[in-house]
Amino acid sequence: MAGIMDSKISRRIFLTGSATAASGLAALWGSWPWLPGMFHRRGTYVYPMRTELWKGVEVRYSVCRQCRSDCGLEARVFNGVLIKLDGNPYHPNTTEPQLSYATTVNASLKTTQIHSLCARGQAGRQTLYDRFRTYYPLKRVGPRGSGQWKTISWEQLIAEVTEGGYLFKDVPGEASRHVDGFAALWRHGQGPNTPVDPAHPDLGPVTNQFVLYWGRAEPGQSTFLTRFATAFGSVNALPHVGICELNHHVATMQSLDGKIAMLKPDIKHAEYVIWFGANIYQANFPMQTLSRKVAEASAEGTLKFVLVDVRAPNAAMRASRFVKVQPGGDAGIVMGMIRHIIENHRYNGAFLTAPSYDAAHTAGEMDYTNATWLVVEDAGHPLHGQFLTAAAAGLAAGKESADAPTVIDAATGKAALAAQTSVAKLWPSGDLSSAAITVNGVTCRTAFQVLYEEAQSRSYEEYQEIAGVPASTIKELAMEFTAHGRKAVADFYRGPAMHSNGVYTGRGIMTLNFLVGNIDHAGGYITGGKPADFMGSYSGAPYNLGKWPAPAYSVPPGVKISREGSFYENTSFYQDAVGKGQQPFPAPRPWFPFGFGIWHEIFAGAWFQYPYPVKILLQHEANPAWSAPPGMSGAPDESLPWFRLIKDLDKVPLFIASDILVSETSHYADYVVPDTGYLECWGMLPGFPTVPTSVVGVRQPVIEPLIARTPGGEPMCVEQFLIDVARKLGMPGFGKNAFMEGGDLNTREDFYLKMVANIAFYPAYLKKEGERLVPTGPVPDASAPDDWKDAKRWQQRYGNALKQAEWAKAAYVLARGGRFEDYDAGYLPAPLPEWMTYRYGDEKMPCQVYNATFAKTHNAITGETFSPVAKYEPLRFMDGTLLSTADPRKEYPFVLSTYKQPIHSKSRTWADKWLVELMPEAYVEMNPWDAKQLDVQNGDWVLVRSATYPKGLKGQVQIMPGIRPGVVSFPAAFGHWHYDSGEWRIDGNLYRGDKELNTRVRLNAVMRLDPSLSDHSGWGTCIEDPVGGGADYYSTRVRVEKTMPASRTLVQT
Amino acid sequence: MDREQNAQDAVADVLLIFARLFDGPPPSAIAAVLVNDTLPRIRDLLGLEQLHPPLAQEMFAAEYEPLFLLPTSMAVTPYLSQYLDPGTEDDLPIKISTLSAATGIPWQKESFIAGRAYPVFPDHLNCVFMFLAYLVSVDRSAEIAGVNAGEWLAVLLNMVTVGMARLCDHLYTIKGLYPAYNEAALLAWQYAHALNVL
Repeated sequence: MAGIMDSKISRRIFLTGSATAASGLAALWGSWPWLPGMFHRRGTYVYPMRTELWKGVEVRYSVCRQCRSDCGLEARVFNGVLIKLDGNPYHPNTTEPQLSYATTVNASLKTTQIHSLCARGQAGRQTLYDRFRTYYPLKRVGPRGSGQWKTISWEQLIAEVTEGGYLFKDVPGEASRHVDGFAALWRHGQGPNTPVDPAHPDLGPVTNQFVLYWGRAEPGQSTFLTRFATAFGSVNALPHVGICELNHHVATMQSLDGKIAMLKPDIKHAEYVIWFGANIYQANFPMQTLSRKVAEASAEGTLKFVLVDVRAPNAAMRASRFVKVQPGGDAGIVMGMIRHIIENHRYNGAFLTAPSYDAAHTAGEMDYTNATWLVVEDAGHPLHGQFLTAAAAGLAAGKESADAPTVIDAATGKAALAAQTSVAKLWPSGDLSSAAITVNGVTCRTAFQVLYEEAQSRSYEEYQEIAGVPASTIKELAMEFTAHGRKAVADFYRGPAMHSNGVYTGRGIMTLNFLVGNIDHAGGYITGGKPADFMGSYSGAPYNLGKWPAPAYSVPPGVKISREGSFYENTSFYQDAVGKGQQPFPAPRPWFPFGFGIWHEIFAGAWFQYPYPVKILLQHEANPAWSAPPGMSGAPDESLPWFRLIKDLDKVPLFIASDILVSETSHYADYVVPDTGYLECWGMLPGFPTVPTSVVGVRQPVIEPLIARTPGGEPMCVEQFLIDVARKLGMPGFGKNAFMEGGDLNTREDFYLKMVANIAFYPAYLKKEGERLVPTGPVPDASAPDDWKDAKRWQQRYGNALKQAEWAKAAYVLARGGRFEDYDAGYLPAPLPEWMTYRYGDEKMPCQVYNATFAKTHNAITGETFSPVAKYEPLRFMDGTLLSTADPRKEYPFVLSTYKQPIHSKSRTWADKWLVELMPEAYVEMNPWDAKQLDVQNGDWVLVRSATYPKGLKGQVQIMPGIRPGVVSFPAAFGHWHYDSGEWRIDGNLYRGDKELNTRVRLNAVMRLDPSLSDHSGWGTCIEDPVGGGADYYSTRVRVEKTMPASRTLVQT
Repeated sequence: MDREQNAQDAVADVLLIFARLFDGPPPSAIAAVLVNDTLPRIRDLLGLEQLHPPLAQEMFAAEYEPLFLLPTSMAVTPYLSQYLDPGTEDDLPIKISTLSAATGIPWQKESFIAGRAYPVFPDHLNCVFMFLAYLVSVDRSAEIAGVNAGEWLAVLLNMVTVGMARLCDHLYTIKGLYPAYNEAALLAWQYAHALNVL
């Protein structure tokens, strides 16, 4: 090539030539937007123009997914490029009060009402435009985890995963490895009729060997994924709850008859709230909404709140108390409070003595409890631990009432049906007496007596020791909590729940609320609104998406690989053992009838091939190699259990990952299905109880997906992958005639737009008319051009997905980013709000002081039954061994904890460099007193070791007075090693991420494994709550030693 | 401002033109000046023959998105580090990211250009040429994060010439698709090489 490379140029000529070259453009200086920017330089800063003022900017409302708060977002798009993200002014998460739903879209664009999105929400466009996104299907061409890929066509991807074969014959060591594809399980439609284990048909069909799990797929999208699994004949469509907040949900649900997984305080009217481990201002649901409401209420002086935590969250600055509890010791506070409240008669007796819905309603209550129901005490009685039935009490008038619960009628002092009693006795044998009584020859006590006996089984001094909090503080909290009538709430989240004793502690916190009778009350513990039914199960819905034309199968659906949602006692394993006179305990692995989404038991099930082996593992938007479960992963160390599993080609013969980039986990996949990010996909997102009105946000692509297209012209994504696999197999519910109402399912929009129509036609939202709440009926038809702006994008391409009349209403919803009740519909009309519009009480089921199902459900390892009432349970392994015995404090003086920051959530936000810039790395945080003992200063290096990870991990110290002495903690977002970093090859080309992103510190790998759940090779599972199944993140005892700086390799030590 | 400073500013302006081209397509009026005046003058300066036929002014706008933004198999990455050998940055005494942090140069992470997203890393070609522009316009002895500007410039120029050469190799194989950006990259590479005379 001729030119300057082959010759010399003088300095003078170069300078003058440059001046000449630039002179032409200089003439245009100032005339064009391109120029001022270009010549704006030399150390000054270009602020973004206010995009609101740009001509031609389109505004689209959708829903965020930077955390699980599901805030409505306002996306500004210019020339097809997303330029800015804000909050949706119709959405109550982001705006208070939100715009009336009848507000025109045009008016919404000009609103001066603040509609905010948090920092991570605004940074979401960096996830969208991530430089390392995966746009084409990838197939590995080296061993798992080698980072060797080739791009393949969509057709090849679908064909290979469906048909199977010698898919990796060119990979060393896999020449003769045959891989079963979907067709091998589907067996031309007979897979769902073929038991996976003929000796145990209750395990379900062979199609259960397809296991689908996800990290982030919220309602709408998770519905779609579950539809595929169900239609394929697999019960294994599993979310990630077990590594998140599962025990909180189990405790809540098992206190509310399984109906509701989460309640929240009505912040607007509450006077006093105790938050146990809820990380207010930094996390929780919805983070910014809850933070805003708490900040406003506390600033106005209407709300006083207490934080119970092992480290001070940001909200501590406004808290009236910050109680530094011992990790895993929350129940010491809770049970001590329960005892003090009962012994000082601070409970709401009028509420607790109503034994039925009718009795409560007559007394002006909306809810009732089972506190007065009688429980059989006789150890040999068939109903031991269960409620005394009318039949057992000799009160049954007929077959219908035989199982009805019984009480001691306060008016007569005699046993009676709960349903026929106005007021029942809490203390049938005298005030504060736990002594049993006899009814029809059966020894029994009230549920309240059982609770009190449990609470008084420990002294206040013992509770003080358990909680690490003075007994006087526990008592003061009890007195404060009961000094606000029904406007006091005890709320909780991961902190107390994600321990091995989490469900029992959560049951205790729920019980505190029952004691003051605050459920459904303004200022109390509330359910939030009722979202529009996007599945269309209501009468008159356009589409019933919960069903599809399909044949009946002869084999029962079976049990999940994680053994969640099934009672061990109901399995043929248990019954066969009992039938043969054998001891059914311990089972090979625990069973979790009350839990759901238990990742660690998915992996354990695959490792132990119990209850059956896995053939195909499909992971959607998940990153377990980095994120969880504790102790099983979390560092680039392939000796950790998760890596050992995923590299085992026998235990996981086919591993498919749908992902937006090649992360720490999809790095190990056989195939990577390129997926659309949250700004390019769909979802139907109900609100959270923090908002008392009904909410369902509609997530819709705000830009044309950047991803490659299938031969059919659709964006490559997980839904299209499943549709095309289903069509190739001829599965029901996909392709031709996929819906009960007719119509095809060939694109994701065929499905999601029908959900939007169901939302639009939902008739039961309420609005205030005078002093009444009346149904709104379906939304109006779209009429203004702005109403149609979003719908037209979809109607042009997917016009057949809906009928014309449906489009008109769906357009109204799409244009507003969902469907939202107006701000004033959350409370029953009254001069001063007293009751919530939406109530658990409407279920007519009791608030469960006593859970009788627990009393007959066993820990499948120890054979012990669960406690039916709240209790303090020491931290244990699954076989009952005390952690304090296994890891003595003298040897491991610290407890390891972790928490979330408001600038990050899951692993995905690490792609957002604005957020990384805010805090590029994290530290091992400890109390100043501990730092002094260890002789470390800020920035010194320490090595953190546990019994199951003795080599430990290094980090730099940050001294933080807000942390309880004896605790070391770290924030959760750091320690990546292959997320926009690392190296990999695609089609022989080397791709290198930014290794500066691999910053410390992440200590998940140090978290303890349960030795009673390990195998002979040492493959282990994290500590679990035997009741809920949630992973224990906060109990690991560690040793912390001052050490030398780590090597330059940032994550590995 | 003396003549020397004015001349160095002209060099910076040319580098900024390249920076801006890699940041997004120019509007049509700018493109007209570029293809009819600026780029031919740079060709003259660098001793290259003029293009026949010359570029059409709409080419930049047509090429930028499929070349740098959209995920097509004919796209190229606009990040310089992707063209450098593994370890190149590690072996260097100084890094682009350090330079970025030390100078606080407006490398436009917040600004918007129609047709593209935005550079979010300092090794984006836009940023790299912005840094070059900055470095040629300051005193070479000026200390930036413990290293003098002349040394920063030399290291950065080395990286730019290596990386741009590889980018140009790749573009050359598909130059029929992207003639305007093939031209921009070629001239940017050779102009950077010529900066050694300063």
